[in-house]
Amino acid sequence: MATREAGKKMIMLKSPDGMEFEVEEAVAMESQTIRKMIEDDCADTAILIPNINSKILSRVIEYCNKHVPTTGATGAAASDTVAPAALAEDLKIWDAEFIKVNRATRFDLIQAASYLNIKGLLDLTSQTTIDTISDNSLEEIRSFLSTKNDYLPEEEQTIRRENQWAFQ
Amino acid sequence: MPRGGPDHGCTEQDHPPAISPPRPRQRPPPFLRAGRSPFRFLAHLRQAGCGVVKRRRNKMRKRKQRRPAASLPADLLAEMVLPRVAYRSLCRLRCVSRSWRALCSDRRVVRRSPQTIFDFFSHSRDARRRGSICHSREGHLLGFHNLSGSGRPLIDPSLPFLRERGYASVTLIHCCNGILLCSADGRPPPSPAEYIVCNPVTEEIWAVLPAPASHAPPRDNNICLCFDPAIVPSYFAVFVKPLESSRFEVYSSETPQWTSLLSDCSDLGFAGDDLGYVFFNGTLHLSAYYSSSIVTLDTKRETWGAIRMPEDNKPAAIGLSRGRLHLVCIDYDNDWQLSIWVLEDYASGKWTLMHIADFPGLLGTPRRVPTEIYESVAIHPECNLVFFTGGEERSWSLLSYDMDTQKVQHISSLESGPYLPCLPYIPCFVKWSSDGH
Repeated sequence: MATREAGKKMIMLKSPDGMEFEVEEAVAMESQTIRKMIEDDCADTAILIPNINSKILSRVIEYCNKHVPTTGATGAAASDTVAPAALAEDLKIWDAEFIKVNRATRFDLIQAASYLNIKGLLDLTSQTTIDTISDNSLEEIRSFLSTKNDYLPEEEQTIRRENQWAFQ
Repeated sequence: MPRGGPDHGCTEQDHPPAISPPRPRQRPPPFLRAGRSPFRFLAHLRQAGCGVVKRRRNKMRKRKQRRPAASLPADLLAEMVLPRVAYRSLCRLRCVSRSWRALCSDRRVVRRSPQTIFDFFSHSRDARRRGSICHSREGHLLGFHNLSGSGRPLIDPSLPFLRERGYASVTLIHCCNGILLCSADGRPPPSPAEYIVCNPVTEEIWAVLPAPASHAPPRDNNICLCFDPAIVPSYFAVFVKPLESSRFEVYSSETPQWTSLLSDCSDLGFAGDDLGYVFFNGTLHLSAYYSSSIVTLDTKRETWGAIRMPEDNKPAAIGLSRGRLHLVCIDYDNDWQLSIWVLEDYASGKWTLMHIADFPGLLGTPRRVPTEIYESVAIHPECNLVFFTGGEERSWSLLSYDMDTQKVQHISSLESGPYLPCLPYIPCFVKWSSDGH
């Protein structure tokens, strides 16, 4: 979790299961939703993040912490010391590790990224879903989406034929 | 068992919340409330079981195999994930279940898809579609091949919006990046034909062009329509070249009148009577295989050039795929060998042989069948897919050939028979603004 540093404004984020997270304002403002709240002066005390549990919220904060120096204006000093290309490569590796989570957590992260409006996290989390849909067999897609095939056999035959090109 | 069929088998309570419900319930921040989702209509899909586990029906199995949280609400998926999904993947998702088909066929989802939709206009003798005003020169009705999947075709090939505007008979001449060039005919002579530039998705007429000075009927001309929404969304140009002339008549939306432009085509030995052409990067590329070249015209600077074709005197169709010029050539003199070339380096004109195949072998015959002919009509803009029309005269078909799997697939029968255009179509959702912005 974030530690308090001199001169940095801290924000308190609260999850609905009662956990509190103290984060730097710059980190919290990676979320456009929280940024808006701060700008509207709605963040004097702790901000309750209504539908994201502490486990997911801590992962989101972890993501924002990692990404704030390169994207936020306040991170200019940090990015001066390291070559931008190396930094980007580093982040990419970190992202790949970050997203190695089970499906339920990933879906929760998509929802959190969507609610908190964090574009980078949304891109990262939805990419796996997109890859799964574009690369796997129909049965695997169904299983991934937890959806049951409700086509009649002849119906399925027709729709498969119509969309055959997409499976080639 | 729930009543009302498989699509109504679960209620809102059936849905396992993927995350803990808000406690206490808090209103979302104002900007979220203000930005109402265009996908609110999708709420019913949640009830249809799209993307969520149906608790009752799968009760036993689900408890053993799946965590109920491992699903995404349909509206979140539609709004956040599907717009990032390529059109090809949308078509895959349609095969998943009925509710997914409904979701992935919805125009609001389809139009946000980042990948190209690829369909075909062709002609048919279908007499059921009475009232259609759109037909070929020979009187065949215009048809639309919904290559992109099931559901309502994106386009009504009878182009009703033209009929509503008083046109009694139109002929489709060309499509270019989603807009159509039609000639409005059926007018008594000597009244010259006029041309209509329209967008069938937005049902807009972009311009009605008077006949050019040559006054030749459309069938006696080579005609190209140039439009590229990636360059200037509201600019188009029409090039008309009478068959026996080396002079082009040019109409551009910037200077809405016909002007004359002398071409270099005669010097290059251009003699094709049916132009294969590609318009991209503001340059018109005309296939002139008699001179083994592609004639280029920079439409802004009006300067001519030529790109040498890789093989001499071989008829080749030109197309654009992944931003590069491609040539698809069936060598009729050499056992119908199919070769596909890609222009790797545009500046130096360097072609690379991308693919080679024995075409009769692909069709499952040891050698060519004398009564059959095939010709390439298009290359897919983003996949290694080439499209052909061909067969015997009475069983004319649209086929696709996948270079990766080396398989030919029958797409549909074309009632029109040979020699009628089969035009690839990619929808364009750009709204017309006459000021060019």
